[in-house]
Amino acid sequence: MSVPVLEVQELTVEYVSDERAVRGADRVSFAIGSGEIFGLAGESGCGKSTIANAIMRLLKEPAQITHGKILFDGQDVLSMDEATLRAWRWNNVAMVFQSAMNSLNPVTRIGEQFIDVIRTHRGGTRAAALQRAKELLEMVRIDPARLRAYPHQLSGGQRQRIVIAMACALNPRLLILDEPTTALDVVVQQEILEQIRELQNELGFAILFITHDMSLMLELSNRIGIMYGGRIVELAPAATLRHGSRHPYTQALLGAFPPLHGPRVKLTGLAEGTNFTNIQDLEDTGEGHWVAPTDAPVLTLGELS
Amino acid sequence: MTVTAAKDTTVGPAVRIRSLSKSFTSSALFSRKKVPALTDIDLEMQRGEIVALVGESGSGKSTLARCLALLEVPDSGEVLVNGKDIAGLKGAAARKYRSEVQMVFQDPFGSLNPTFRVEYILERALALHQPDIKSKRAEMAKLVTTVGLNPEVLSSFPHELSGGQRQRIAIARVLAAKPKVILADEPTSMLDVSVRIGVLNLLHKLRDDHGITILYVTHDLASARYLSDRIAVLNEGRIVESGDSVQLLDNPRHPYTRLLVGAVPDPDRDSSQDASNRAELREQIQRWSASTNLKKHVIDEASQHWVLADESETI
Repeated sequence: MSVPVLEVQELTVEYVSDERAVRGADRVSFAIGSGEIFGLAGESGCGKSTIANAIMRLLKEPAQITHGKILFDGQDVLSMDEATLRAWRWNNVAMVFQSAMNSLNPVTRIGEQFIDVIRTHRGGTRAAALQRAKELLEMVRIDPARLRAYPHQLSGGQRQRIVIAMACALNPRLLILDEPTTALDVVVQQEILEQIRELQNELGFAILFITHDMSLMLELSNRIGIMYGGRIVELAPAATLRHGSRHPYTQALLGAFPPLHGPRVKLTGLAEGTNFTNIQDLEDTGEGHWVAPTDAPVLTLGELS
Repeated sequence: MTVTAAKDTTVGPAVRIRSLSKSFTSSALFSRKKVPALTDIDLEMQRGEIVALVGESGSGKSTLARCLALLEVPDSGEVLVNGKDIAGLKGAAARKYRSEVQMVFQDPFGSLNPTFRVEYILERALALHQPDIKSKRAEMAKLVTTVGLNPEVLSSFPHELSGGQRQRIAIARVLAAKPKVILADEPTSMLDVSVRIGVLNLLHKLRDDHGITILYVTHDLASARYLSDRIAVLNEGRIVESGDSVQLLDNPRHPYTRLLVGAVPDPDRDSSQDASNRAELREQIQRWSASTNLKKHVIDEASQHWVLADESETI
């Protein structure tokens, strides 16, 4: 793997209340290489968004990072002060939030919002910022004339593309996408993904891609980490994960998506109330495939169908 | 998964919809416009058949389910359920109809009253729909067992259950009415992915064991293929293509169906549909739907596969 852009080491995030602390992320480690698409998959509440917010240093009380390190280009993110953070965010790492299409300011024209982002971080004239905004809109195939539009005059898909273009405005080295296509129809979803790939080819940033949709994840990501209960239970290249997953939870997730082709076979998914507790640290099984050892029976391919 | 003996084709269809149309009025400041939501829908469902209605948001799939549930009144057309016309049903007749045709909603967090225990929720349904049952307790235990839960959940409150368990309770409540038809409107889209398949399997089992006819409304083609015998594709209020689920998705003919099928993420596919494919399909969809001479073209008699197209189109 190339030099990592982002390294997360043993990251632990706790939500602390008076009576007890809940671990939102528990000793999570992974690295993202330059220009790589790394996916984090798992169900609601497994800690995917907690990790994204921890990387951006956006966690608020009662969440606390109690252990671990986050390194961006070798720089310690956790020790940055507010001023450094402000300069670092968006310039180096940009994030597209869940349902980001609703995060545009409804009373300001799209163009103004672009200018605001660019001038706050980079300075320069309005004209130069506007020129950059036009280029960005063209990159996501929206008519630059739409810079004069208000958010409500655009469709959900268009707004989502604008938010992604805005995130790319300052050529960040890492883009965090938290469920970027949830609530969009399949055809629009396909268009957005294509746009993300094109932008990535052009600008060369790395992506941390977060979703619960395994088929989407497998299509887009180079490497994937599967999360459960705040821990990563399996980490492998996409192709390895698809055909040779070793952890029963990964298999259940994969088995929850019926195929569009081939014979119709009965799938089982995860039985109601199945719980994995005391998840061990990942073990290397070769070729970049890491699995948390488990007592639960691993399904063979035959049993899956 | 094969169709079992529960499917009874000796009597007429469970649901027969004929040239149903429905429009909504949108009121702008000075103009009142009629927006068609459903146009000229024909749909038949045999007893014990699972039919999936698929389409994008705004295609009219939920409106059709709501017309069947007496929640909307169609502008024109005829809906026969078990041979009886449902237009203008009122009072006792409407109540009887509603116990025969039950609806499962998308959001199990909103459809169960949070202030009551599960046992109360089910007891009310039983008291309404099966008042002569002697041992309600035994019947409730039977209901929750049917939906794959332990009778212990009867004393829980809805907030103590997971999304999947809650949706199962919603289905148990539907079963308390001994329905002949279930209308399931996106029953799994709010659930965690790993339990979705379990709820689909449960619906399948209800069809197999009780011969219940199911209309499955979804935007997810893969789950429609998994659960249903037949798929009807809705685009802008018209059924544009329909047929056996597997056949239809293996061999989609309408440009809209092809657009949808091509957009489903599929890691096994060699090449994905690109922008020029989509533009071409969109143009075709426009041309096909603008035609004033739309006819059903049968593609394969055995799998009931047909497509709605102009006569001049080569299909």
